[in-house]
Amino acid sequence: MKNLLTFIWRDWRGGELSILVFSVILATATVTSISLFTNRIQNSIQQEAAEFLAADVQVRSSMNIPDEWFEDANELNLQSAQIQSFRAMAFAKDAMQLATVKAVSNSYPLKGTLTIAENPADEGQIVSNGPAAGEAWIVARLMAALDIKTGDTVTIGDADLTVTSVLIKEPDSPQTFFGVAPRIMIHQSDVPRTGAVQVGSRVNYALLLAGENKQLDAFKTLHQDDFGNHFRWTTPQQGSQSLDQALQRAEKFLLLAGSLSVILCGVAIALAARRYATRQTTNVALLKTFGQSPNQIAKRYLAVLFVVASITLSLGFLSGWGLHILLLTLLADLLPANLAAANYSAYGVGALAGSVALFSFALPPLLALRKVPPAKVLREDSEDALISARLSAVIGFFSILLLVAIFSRDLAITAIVTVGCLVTIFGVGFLGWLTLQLGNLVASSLGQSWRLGLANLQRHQQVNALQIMIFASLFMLLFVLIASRTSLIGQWQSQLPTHSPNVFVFNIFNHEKAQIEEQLVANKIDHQPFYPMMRGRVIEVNGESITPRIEQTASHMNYERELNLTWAKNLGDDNKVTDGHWHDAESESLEVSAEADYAQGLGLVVGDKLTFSITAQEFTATLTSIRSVQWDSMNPNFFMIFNQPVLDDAATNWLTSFYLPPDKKAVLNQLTAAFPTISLIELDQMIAQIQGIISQVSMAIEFILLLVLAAGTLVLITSIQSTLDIRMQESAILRALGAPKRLVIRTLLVEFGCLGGMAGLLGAIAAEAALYGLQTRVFSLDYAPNSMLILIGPIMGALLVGMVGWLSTRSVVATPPLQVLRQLS
Amino acid sequence: MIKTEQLQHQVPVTDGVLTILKGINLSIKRGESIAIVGASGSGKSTLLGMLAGLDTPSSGKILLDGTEITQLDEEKRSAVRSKLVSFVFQNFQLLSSLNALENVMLPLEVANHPQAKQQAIEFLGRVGLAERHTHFPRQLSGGEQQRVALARAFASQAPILFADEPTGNLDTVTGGKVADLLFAMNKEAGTTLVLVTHDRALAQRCTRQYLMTAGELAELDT
Repeated sequence: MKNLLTFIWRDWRGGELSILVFSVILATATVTSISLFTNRIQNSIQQEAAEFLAADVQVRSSMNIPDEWFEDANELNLQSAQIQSFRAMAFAKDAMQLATVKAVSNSYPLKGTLTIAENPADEGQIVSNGPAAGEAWIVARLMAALDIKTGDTVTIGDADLTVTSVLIKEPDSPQTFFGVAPRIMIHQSDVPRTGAVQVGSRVNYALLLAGENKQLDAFKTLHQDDFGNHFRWTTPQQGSQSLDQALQRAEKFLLLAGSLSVILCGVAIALAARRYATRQTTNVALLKTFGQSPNQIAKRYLAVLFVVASITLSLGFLSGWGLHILLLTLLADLLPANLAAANYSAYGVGALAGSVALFSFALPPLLALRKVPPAKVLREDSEDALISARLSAVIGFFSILLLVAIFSRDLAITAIVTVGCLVTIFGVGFLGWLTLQLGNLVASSLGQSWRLGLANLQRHQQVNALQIMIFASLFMLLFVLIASRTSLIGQWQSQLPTHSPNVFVFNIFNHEKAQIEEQLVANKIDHQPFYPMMRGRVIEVNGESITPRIEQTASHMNYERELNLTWAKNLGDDNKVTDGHWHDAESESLEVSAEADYAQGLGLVVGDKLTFSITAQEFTATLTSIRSVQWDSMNPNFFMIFNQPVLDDAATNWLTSFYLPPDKKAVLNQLTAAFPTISLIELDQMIAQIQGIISQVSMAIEFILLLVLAAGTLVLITSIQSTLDIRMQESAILRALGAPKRLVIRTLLVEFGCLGGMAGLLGAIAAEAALYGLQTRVFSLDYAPNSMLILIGPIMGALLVGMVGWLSTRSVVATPPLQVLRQLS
Repeated sequence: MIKTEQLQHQVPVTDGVLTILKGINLSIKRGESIAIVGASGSGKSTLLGMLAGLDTPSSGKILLDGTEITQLDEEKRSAVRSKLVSFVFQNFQLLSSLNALENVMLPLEVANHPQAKQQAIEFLGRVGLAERHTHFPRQLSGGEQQRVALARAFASQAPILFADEPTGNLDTVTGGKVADLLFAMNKEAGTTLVLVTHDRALAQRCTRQYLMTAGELAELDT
């Protein structure tokens, strides 16, 4: 052991191990920090998203939740709460108003907080539980409608309740237009007193659960058979379609960035390991002349690898942990105060990635050292017996893909990254050959440094091909990351501009439409178009009841509930026809367009005849198109859009939305006073929450991009270092033969610049291929080819590689040639 | 000490087979010093590598201290080398990451010598480099590097020393001094010396001389 440590110490002192050691430390640190940081952000996002449900999971049903389910939750150490929602008339003094009653248990909410106030104009205080028995909390609008204040009595059904607070904010505020009448929150023990819930009453029940994922999964498994029928398992993502797409994209990006950092670090380790192994061949031959056997050699290097692994992985882990703390400190103002803890698995990802990369790349060439012939000490041209670069690359390629698959747990990301890498690998041969041939053709007409530089490129074709492949992969990954980040953040910013609509007004009768419009204009409020809206449900497909389809569907959607339906001549900007064709303006028959997920869940295809039940009347329409809808656009969107009015204007309700600045909130009271039957939803909280999450994630993405760029630079430097010896030797010989310094520098610049240019072009082509897959398959965004990339890629590649190459080799011209040759011999 | 029988070595080339050694028969007694001279490419270094067990011939036998090494696998040949053989090379073959002392210690450490450091210091002293023991190869001149290599070769106290052009990379004066040291230490240690050189003057300091011509070995009349 002492001998081994001495051996390692000497190698370290001699600089042989330093690049490998630094590569593993940096790789492990980068992946660890990215993994911890992204995991904590992801968990925090989940946590914040959970507030939209007031729980980690809601089990929703139109049936009462069985008592034993609460006992099961208790046994699994899950927190639980219950909500019952129903509509009832609220009476106060002489006024009455239809309201949605939300009856909650003691422990509600499990996630998030409630905000209540004594008066509607007050700022409010945060509380962590709902009203006590006998109390009612009422939203300001309903209080105004009923003309009551705190301390007054409100009657719901048969129960008299004291209004103790104004309900300002509830975590799981309604986010759909369904059944939104002004809200009253009461304690669930008061429900029987109201007498509003009878057999046959329409009541929505929800069991709220919070706890560890493992326990939640166990609960889900326990009642698996009930889900899909009368009970729906709803996670935060399913709970809010608007937030869902934004979160999914953010998570995918973080996973993509992490996966790319794994690849970059793997490549850096691969290069460093190969360089180390190559430089050890003469040493091994010498050790063999001293009598060291092949098995002893193998054991020695295996032991070196284990010692290096344990030291570097530990240091890498600690540095990664420290880096993520630094990251959190730097971003403290932008991140939530109580960032969620990381999962245990996130701690191990960096060390796992580092060790897989180290062993898969370093072990084969190091074990191959046992085959180095001892006669190499006599003849430098003896066969090296090092494992071939191709075999090594194949082993490493599959190891890294395995790591990406483990890290991302996403088949699409793994497949797309694989395709991108393959385009790079196979493209390099052709492009490299083409460029060298062109170089040959024009070399004679170029200057001396160009001739020498191109000759160098040609002389080391194999090494250069490998290097172009590495650089091109590196550029591809960076281009992909930068382009994805730009389009994601751009997309978010464009979908949620500062003045996104924050108020939705609906249940507007036909005769009220013009007056409301006038009132909005008078108050200088820009509103969105008025959409006609009616409620109805699909009851038959091609003349057959949809019940069998509902029983068979794997979708979580509630197909039995009423949908918001509309009609429109034009397709909205945030809608895209994925099958069939948009409404024919000339068509006189009734046509309908369905939202893609809804259609898929029911197994609908273009051409189906759908029968709708709308206000007790039946209408049959032909399904002419299926649309994807960008739900996170915050614009009004509909599952079904007809091509013409289905009902008479008199029976139609209208919907509009607008941005209301904080100082014009009084307009809402004017509207509700003038049009008491209209319904309003204020989305300020939700928009603020989404914008908050997006700004956090955008920040995280930018910082992670910087980390990955740092890893990329490491690869670049390592790769150049790995071929430094041969370049230094040639440059020293050139100088010894009388070449001026300037010529040597220019030759190196030409060589590295051409390498970088070719790699940049190839990387840009491969990035376009990968971006197409990522945008369309992973991020669900439109793909727009980025023609500038093809131009910028080669220029950036040439400049970057040329600069790093020159910086790495500038010592060649600063050191006397004899000294260089001596060092290399 | 060293004996070969009908030693033959061929390597495949693009247009057939190239015969490098053609039926070499050689016998070297313990303590004897022999020189092999010949033009570049005549097969001198190949023969030296074969005799030292660094490479295996296509056919024929090599006996080192009575052990037939051509039939041994690499593991066993390594054990034989560890026990019987030491080397001096034309390009010194010092590890650049090790200082002079560590370079001398290296074969002793490989053989698990209990007092590697003391032994190495002693031999560095014998070649006159005790004061330079912390210096790295890049800090030493060519002559000094070869003296370190001599210290390394003799410190292992192997009974056979193979020297491949030991003065080939040195100027005449320095080469002469290194040669003096080599023969003096060899005499003192009683080592069997196999010297490959194209320096006839150096070769003449050995007890016997052979001429290698196109893979054939002929003893020169001394």
